[in-house]
Order: sequence, then C-alpha cells, then structure tokens
Amino acid sequence: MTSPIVVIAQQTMREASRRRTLPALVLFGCGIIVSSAFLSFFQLGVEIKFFKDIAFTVIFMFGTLATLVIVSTQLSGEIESRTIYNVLSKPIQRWELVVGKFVGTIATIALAVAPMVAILVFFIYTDHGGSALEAVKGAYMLWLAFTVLSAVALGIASVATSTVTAALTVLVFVVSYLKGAVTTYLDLISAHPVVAYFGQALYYLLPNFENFNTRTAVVHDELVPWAYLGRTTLYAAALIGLFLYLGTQLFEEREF
Amino acid sequence: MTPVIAVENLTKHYRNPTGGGRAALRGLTLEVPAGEIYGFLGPNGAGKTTTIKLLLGLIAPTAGGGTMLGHPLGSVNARRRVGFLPESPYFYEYLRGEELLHYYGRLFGLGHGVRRERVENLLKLVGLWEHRRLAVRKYSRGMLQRLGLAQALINDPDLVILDEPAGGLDPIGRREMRDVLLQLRGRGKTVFLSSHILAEVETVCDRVAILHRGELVAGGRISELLSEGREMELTVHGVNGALSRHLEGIPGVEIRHGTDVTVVILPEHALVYQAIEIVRAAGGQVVSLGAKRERLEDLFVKLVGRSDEEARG
Repeated sequence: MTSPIVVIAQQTMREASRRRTLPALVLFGCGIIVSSAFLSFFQLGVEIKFFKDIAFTVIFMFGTLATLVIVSTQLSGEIESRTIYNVLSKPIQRWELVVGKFVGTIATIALAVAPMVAILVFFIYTDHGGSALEAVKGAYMLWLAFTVLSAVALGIASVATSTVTAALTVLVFVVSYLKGAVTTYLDLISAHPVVAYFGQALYYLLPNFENFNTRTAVVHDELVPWAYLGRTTLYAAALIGLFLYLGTQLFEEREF
Repeated sequence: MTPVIAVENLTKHYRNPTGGGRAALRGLTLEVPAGEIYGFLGPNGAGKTTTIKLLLGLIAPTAGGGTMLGHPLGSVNARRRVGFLPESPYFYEYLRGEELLHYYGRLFGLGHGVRRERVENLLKLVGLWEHRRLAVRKYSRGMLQRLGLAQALINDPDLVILDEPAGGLDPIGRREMRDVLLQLRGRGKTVFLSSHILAEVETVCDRVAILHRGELVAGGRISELLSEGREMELTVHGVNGALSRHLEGIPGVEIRHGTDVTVVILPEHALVYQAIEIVRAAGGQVVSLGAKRERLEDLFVKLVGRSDEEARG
C-alpha cells in the first residue's frame, strides 16, 4: 500500500506539470541560460565566469518563482477550490496532506531546476570552465533554499489564502535575505528595548538564506567544502522541520 | 444492532471574529441504523451540512460527540469505510475522470488491480465510461455530480454520506441516482442522504430526521411520521358554484379546485357520507375516495412552520 504522503506528493507533481506556468518558466529559464552561453562564447573577453554567474542567477530567480507559484496554489488553493472536502473525507491525516504537498513541491522544483542545471553543467564541461561538481553543489544549495522557502510557504498556507501566502512568503524571503540590514536599521532608528527584542527575534527566527548562496565561490572556481554542504543541509532540515511542524499544527486546528 | 451513526448532544457554534457567534447545530441526538437509507432534511441553514462536516471531522464540535461505524467521529478508521459526496462537488479540473477516481482510490490504499476494476465498474454505473478520458473541467454539472457519486463509492463503503446528490441532475439522472441508492441498500450498505428534494427522499428513505434552525424537530420511520393523519380525500367531477358552496359548509373541509376535478379534503372519516350525499344531490360525480396520505413535503412544511412560530414566541 502506497503511503498517502507519496500519493499526495505525486498528485502535487502532476498538478504542477499540467499547469502552464511551470513548464513556461522552465523553458524560459533554459532559453536565457543557453543564450548567455552563446553570448559568452562569441564575445571576446567575456569569460565562462560570466555565463556561470548568469546561469546561477537565472536558476535562483526562476527557482524562487517556481517555488512561489507551486506552493501558493497548493494547500490554500485546495481550500479555495473546495477540493479539500473530498481529500479530507478520505482516510488520511491532515499532517500527511501538508507533508505530501511539501514532498511533491520540492520534488517538482528539483525537476524544474534540473534542465537548467544540466545546461550549466554541459557548458562548463565542454568549455573546461571549472569544476562541474562544484556547480552541481552550488545548484544543490539553491535547491535547499527552495525547500526551506517551500516549508515557510506551506506553514503560511495552512492558515492563509493563496494571495496572502504568496505575499507573505515573498516578504519573509526578502526580509530573510536582508535581515542583517533590517536588524541594524531597527537598532539605529530606535533605542527602545521592544524594538531591539523584535530585531533579535527576527534575526534568529527567520531563515538565513545567505547560507545557501555559494554562487560567488562556484563562479570563481573555489571549492564548496563538503562539511559546509553537510552543515547547511542540517540547517535546512531543522528549518523545514520547524516550519512544517508549525504548519501541520495550525492546519490540524483549521475548520472547513 | 449497533447504529452506524450515533451522535449525542452534537453542538456547533461558529464564533465571529468581532465577537458573538451563531449556533449552527444545537444538541443533535440521533441514531442511524445499519442497512437503511436515512433522509436528513431541513431548509437552507438548518445545520445539515454542518452535521455532515462534524461526522467527517472537517470541523470540531463545540459540545457533544458520537461514533460513526463504531469509531469516534472524524477518525481515520471511520473515514476508511465511508464514502462522501459533498454538495456541488469540486474536483481537480486538470485531471481526467478516470485519473480522479484512481487518485481517490489510492488515498484509500487500493491496489492497482482493484482500482482499475472499480474505476471501470463505477464509471459504467454512473454513465461516464465514454467520458473517462475527458478533462474534468469539461464536465457538465450533471456529469460532475455523477463523478462525485462514483468517487464516493470507490472504496466500496459501508456508509455513504450524500449531500444533495440530485443537484444538477436531470430527471433521468435522478432516477438513476435513486436506483443506485436502492442497490446500495440492497447490498446492506447504509446511506445518509441530505436532500431538499422531498419527493425523492420519501420514495427511497426508510427513516428521516428533520432539522430546523440547528435543532431536530422530528425523526423516525417515514411510515410512522406520515400515518398520523385521519383525513379523507374525495375527488369529485362536475363541481359547480352551488355544489362548492354546499361542500364548504362541512366543518373543517378543504377544497382544491382543479381544471377537471375538485379534491375535497375531509378532516374526519365520519364526514365522508355527508359529503357524498351533497355531491350526489347536486349532480356531481365521485371519481375516487381514499385516506389522504400526508406527503413528506406537507409534514416538512408543517413542522418547519410550527418551529418558526415557536421561535417567534
């Protein structure tokens, strides 16, 4: 008997693949990477570094967009379209639905990002432009960031509408990237202890997405240490666990 | 025999974010026996869908509780043996009809072989086999309702909960739906049927419960609920103004004029002879005479009206 988590995950993947947005994003992303590869080859003085930089930027941007598109339409979309009644009347636990959606989402993102990574690796390999393995490691780190973002979004989606989920997830993502600057700014504008505590809480509660950014290292042919990869994977797992736990707890209490 | 559904003092209050709230269900106590079709009736907002959601664990009760198939309401073990058709069912529009049934079958843990056989049988049963490869988004409302019934039966459930199953169905579809319900009962299954179509309910249900403003106002076997009346119904042909005036002189009489015949409803058996004498004397013709069988619709309107009057004080 297949676990309901697997069934829901497969369904999530099928849904994402049948919506036109995701294949369009993947095609567009691949198109930009291929174009930038030829631009690098035919323009004198432009190195493979330029191509790698662009490719990673495209994977990051399109991966983030794909994550937002998939996650914001998953759990809250299921509630808004009222398909949730049929699903929750079946013998599944609510947490299985949330976890199944998460697994399906991160698997879909992996599949969506894979062609872009494959193009990147192909050109690095054929152009002797550095280590293809380091590029794969860098792409894996980006995928980890997307998985954390998915967990955050699902946590929000367990109580919010799809529009609110998308908006809040973008907000969390942006603030998380800039959280160092935000907390410093909060310290500067106010000496009030409440603001300081808020800044501290923000700093420690929000994921540090910069941890997943190894683009600069990969572009400049530096090695991404395996130990760093392992630590960041554990960090991502902890964050995913935390946000999925919060999401499932909130979803358990929700009434339909 | 253990009832398939047993709820006691089931209560649900919805709270407003601004304070206050609304009682959707107040102390519902009922038992649904096994192997019967149980009609669950009530006007809009009576609490029928709330009750169904409580049974399935989609919402939590404010007070009270119960069991379904011997398990706590909403538990996974209970849901394993339940089929559910929501009111105006919504499905994944990007799936094809047969894919949808396979998906729900997989959620019940059905293996591929069993699923394939059931999907084929059910799609044939509801008349959608030819449309099995059509995307759900292209289905008409009636087709969606049929697909909804098919998915409700994918796990060969012991209890089928149907919320307004005839909605969107044409007369043929309704008749087919009725046949399916009767087949299910014939196979020993229990059907919990929430419906507005009282004639339909009266035809297929063994028992009914009538809900109004979140409270149970009547419940029991249909034959018992409808047997209280002692009225007689006299159908007369050739009623003119004079005859009509004479008939109106009978105490408690109710006269319904049709285009060809007139129906005279007499409150007591004892008044039948008097009415027949009046008709004969005036040259009218008695077409038929029988005990007036109260229809479920009459009972429903009467009980709901009484409940409204009591609420108004």
